[in-house]
Amino acid sequence: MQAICNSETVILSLLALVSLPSTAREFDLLYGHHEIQTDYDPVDGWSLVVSYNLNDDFNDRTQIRRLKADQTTLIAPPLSKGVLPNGFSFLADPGETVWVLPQGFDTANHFLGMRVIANAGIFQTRVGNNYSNIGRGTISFSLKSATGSGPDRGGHFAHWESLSLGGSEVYLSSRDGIDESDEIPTLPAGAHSHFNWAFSKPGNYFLEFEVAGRLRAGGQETSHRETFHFQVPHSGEVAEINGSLCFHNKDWTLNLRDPENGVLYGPRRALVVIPDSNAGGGFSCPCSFDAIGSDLPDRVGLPEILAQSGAASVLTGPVSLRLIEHIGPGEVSFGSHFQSADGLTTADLIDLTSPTTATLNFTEPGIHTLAFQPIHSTASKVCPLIIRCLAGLDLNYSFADWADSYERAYDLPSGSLTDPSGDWNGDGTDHQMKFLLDAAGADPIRTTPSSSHFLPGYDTNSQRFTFFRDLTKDPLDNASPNLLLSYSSDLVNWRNLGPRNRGRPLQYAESGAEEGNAVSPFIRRSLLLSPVPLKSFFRLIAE
Amino acid sequence: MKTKTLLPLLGSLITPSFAALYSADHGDIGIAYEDEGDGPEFFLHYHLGGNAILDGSPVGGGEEGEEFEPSAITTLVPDSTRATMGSVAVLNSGTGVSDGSPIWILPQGEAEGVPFLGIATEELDGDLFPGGATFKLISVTSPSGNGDFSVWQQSGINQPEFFFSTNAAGDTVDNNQLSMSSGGHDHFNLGFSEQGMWEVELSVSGMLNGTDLLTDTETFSFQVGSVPEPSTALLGLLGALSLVRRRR
Repeated sequence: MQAICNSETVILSLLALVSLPSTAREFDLLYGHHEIQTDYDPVDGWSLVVSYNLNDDFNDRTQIRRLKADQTTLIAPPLSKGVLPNGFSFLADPGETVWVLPQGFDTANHFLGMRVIANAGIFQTRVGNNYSNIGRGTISFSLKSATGSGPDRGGHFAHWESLSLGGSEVYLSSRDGIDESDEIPTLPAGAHSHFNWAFSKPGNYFLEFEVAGRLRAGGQETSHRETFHFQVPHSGEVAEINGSLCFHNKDWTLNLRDPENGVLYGPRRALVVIPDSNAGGGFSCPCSFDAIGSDLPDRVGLPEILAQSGAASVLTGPVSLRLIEHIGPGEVSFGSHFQSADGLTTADLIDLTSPTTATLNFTEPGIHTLAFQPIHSTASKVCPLIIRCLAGLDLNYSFADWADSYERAYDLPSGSLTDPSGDWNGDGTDHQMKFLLDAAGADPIRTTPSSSHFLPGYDTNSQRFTFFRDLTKDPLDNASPNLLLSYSSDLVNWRNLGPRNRGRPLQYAESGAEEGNAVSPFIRRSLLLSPVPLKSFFRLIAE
Repeated sequence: MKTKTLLPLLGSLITPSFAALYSADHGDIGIAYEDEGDGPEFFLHYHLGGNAILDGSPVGGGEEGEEFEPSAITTLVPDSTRATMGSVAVLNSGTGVSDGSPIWILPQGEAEGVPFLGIATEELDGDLFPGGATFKLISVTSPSGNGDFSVWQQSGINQPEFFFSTNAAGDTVDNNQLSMSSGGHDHFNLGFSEQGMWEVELSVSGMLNGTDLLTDTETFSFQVGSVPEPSTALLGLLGALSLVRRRR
């Protein structure tokens, strides 16, 4: 692995020269024009898939590429999130937060259509509940079930068409139960139409759909079902620390519970947001640590076994956590367990024989990274376990907030980090990129440890180029800075991928690299390439 | 680009009234980029799907359909699309149609027996046109000279967004301009405030390789309401010609 720089753009360039195997892929999609596509062929029967067109010409049937429903996840991107106005009671109550994949095209969102590929004259045409052989023929599309952690926490799914002069033609809605009325009664053969798809709570939605039609030849009914997976990200924000130290098979993690919302965040998948306490200064929040596992339904960035395996439960002997580093302005303290003001020593320890609760306090506002070392007879060389906190800032902290916080953390003169194109430590990565990769552990002052597997690089386990997206810093819109994925086979010609040039999942595209069964705005991503060139070079660009 | 040239029905009287009538199913106003030896150029055109109905018959041409010069087509906005405007300030202003007045709408959603007309940049490569393309409303000629034309979209949980409006350009997203990324395709509501023959002049522009400006301008014709009987058509034709003459 080596670093390169491009003359036109300042780039974080972790370059990997690799040969990737061609294997079966799973796809998760954050944006772009795709279809829920129904195919029917008299010989091959039905298929119900996610699809896209190779040449962006949706009149051209020959260029369709299909992704299997059970291998594809559609993730609601940041700009899908909104507050529901009046008039959408089929989804949720006014004022509730909802996530909408809209009927109209938006670069920063999904543009999810419905398409029917069937020759004219195969199906009868339905009008009401009557059928005839006139026209091209129609099929129906109905919702049969909505399951998963989203519906389990009271989330609903709705699918409707926005009408020209306002109002909605609602086709599918789980809020009032699912029955035969949850149906698009007629989709013509050859249809390509767009609708709104919306969800009212974070989590997983497994939506089972049925397509059905009455054949002209013989008049019998035929149908097919398939289940599609949608994910609505959790907020990635907690108001207090409820830390769970876990251990499994040499791996340690310090996870953050959010029991109210039924989600467990793995490393770097959430921030602790602490408002100004207004009580004698400082920024305080309730804080507890234990070494008990969690069985919360949604796990972000965590395999199930690592979420459940509390260190005190699976290990013999005492387990504790030692604070080994605080990166941030001012000082931090946690009751009598640790204080940074007098320097961090082996005495800054949390005994986890039983849960420990106290108040966590920061003396100054800013971005705070706490690095812990698990202490146990089996723990020798372990990567620091990280909890990140924001004192007096929110998740959408700006580049100026970032620069100010690190300047104070490292006692730099004011203005040292305020130039986005600057590179204070001269490691070839500019401040803008380090801001975008702050959640991944990029440090503007120190050389970032190579052991961090959140920074961009070639991941030998997945055999893909992986990186960490902070969707609170780049919500995939056109506002700078945008984090673009780029690759080349010759170091001369580079291909950039982003919402404006989304790529093609079966050839080259950004896809998921997350563990666990849920996502937050802090999300591991990867580049899919198929077929894989003999040599592949990768980089990230901030634009 | 494959371009189908249609013969006008009345010899030399080449007006939109006698272009082929596009009356149903899917089609797009598209933009193509070509270099046929005279340097790179933009071409605004119609791209009608194979099932689109033109003069009563499917266009054909396989899955890709056919492409046409804008002057060869008149798009029908049938009387079935007539609606009565309600009292919604943003819609009244954007469409120029007051509460209780009629409006004819080519809808953003697919409807049986109605043209499903989109706007597409599908033929533009994002690597060549990283900034996409911008469509601009240049002029509108309405039957009475006082009608209003508008293009808007209802989507998600948002208020309607107007892109073109002859009544209130200041209320549009970008002063009667519509920007689309390369490789895009979207559908909008096209609103007309009165029956008869309309002409809508659009331009499109884009920056090749982000540096070289390409543009094209074309006029698109719409027959709003019922299709006139032949005798009426002739009167309509004369009216259209007189309009053209006055404009010139």
